[in-house]
Amino acid sequence: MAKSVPAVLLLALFAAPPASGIDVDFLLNYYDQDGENSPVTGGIGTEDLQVVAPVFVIDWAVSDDWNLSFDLGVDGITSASTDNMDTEVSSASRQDTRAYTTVTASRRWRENQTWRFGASLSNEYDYSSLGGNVGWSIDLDQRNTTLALGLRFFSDTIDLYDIDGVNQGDDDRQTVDLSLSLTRVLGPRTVGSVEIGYTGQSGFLSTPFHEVILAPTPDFPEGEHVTERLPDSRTRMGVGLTLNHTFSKRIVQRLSYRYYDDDWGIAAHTVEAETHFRLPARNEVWIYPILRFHTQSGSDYFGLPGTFTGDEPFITADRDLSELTSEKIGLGLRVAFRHKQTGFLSKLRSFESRIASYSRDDGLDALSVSLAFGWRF
Amino acid sequence: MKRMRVVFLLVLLTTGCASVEPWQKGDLATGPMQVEDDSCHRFERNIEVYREGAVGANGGKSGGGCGCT
Repeated sequence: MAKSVPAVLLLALFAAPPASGIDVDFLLNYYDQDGENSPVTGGIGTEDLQVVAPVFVIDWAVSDDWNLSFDLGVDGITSASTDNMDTEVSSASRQDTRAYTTVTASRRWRENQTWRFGASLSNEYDYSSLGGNVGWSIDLDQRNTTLALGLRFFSDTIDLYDIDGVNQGDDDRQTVDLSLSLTRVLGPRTVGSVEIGYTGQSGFLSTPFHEVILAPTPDFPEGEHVTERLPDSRTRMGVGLTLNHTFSKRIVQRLSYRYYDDDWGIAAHTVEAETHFRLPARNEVWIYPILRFHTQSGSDYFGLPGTFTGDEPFITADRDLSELTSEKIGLGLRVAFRHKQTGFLSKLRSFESRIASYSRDDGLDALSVSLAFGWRF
Repeated sequence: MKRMRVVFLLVLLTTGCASVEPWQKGDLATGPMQVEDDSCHRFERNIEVYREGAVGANGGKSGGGCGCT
């Protein structure tokens, strides 16, 4: 007879040590960007921004069937652009912190199926979010095919700080994600997957402190500054294809392509490629270059500064919603410790690192650096 | 409708292959052959969600936080 979730949690706390142990991962991420088209100042100011994001992830094999995972993270954001929200610039930059946590339980069922359900919570000074998710997957044909279904839901509350930095109350936003994926072993050296995703959003989808500079008028010769206005619903569809192939014991090619389409007028194509080279080492060590190319058409609601009259129902100067192309190049390292280490490294299971340079054709440049350490206890 | 036909064709192609026996799967067990992104890659995806309006519907972050700076 299946155990209930509370019973499993109690067992996890007081029972004998789990069969597979506890995996603990620590990730440290850093992101730095700069550009000159910030929507916070109507599309003409600095986009200087840094994020430092440490995350702890604990994955606990409670029993042969049950697994619990828990993550806790903080995003420390330093932004020069949001400091320009209010009329008087108070410092060179503004600090913001977002804290979040997620708890997920999964259970193997009838040998070849897995159920997963979880909840998430996040909070920052003007934004809070509650989320839930449910997932199901089934392995078929001697585990050569896996079919997975997923549903995620987020309910967010936004404090409405306007373009003058004044609080105008709050509003809400709902997001529903549905995904269907099929992963198939195509041969002894090849695996591929197809994923279809649907995202529906409703509620307040604008950013309350994003400005739009209207066309000049006699009363406003340099253009009136007004708040961004976007529709209160959005539907997104994506189809992703992944193909991984082992050319030899030392070379693996990863390829992916994604097509995206939404009802705000954006359509996009994204291609990513990574060629992994295994180094001659005692443990499993891979090094790989990262390449990514993205192109998208612009939203129907985007316009450059000074191009809107103000009579349009929806307006934004946010370049994230404009026609753009972006490129990312980088380098990654992945180490899986297959042999027992000694001393400080004795519990280390894995190490990963990525560094990537990102550039957009509107002049936005960014750098991201990530480190991930994994231990098994 | 055309899009659905393409998806159906892809599903048909991927399920039409012969089974690979468990003892033939050694090369499929290495880290780079896993279909899921590694943990560092997920952070980059979350950043791309904000910098490109065309992200979403791909398993990346779609809600649950702002980051709208």
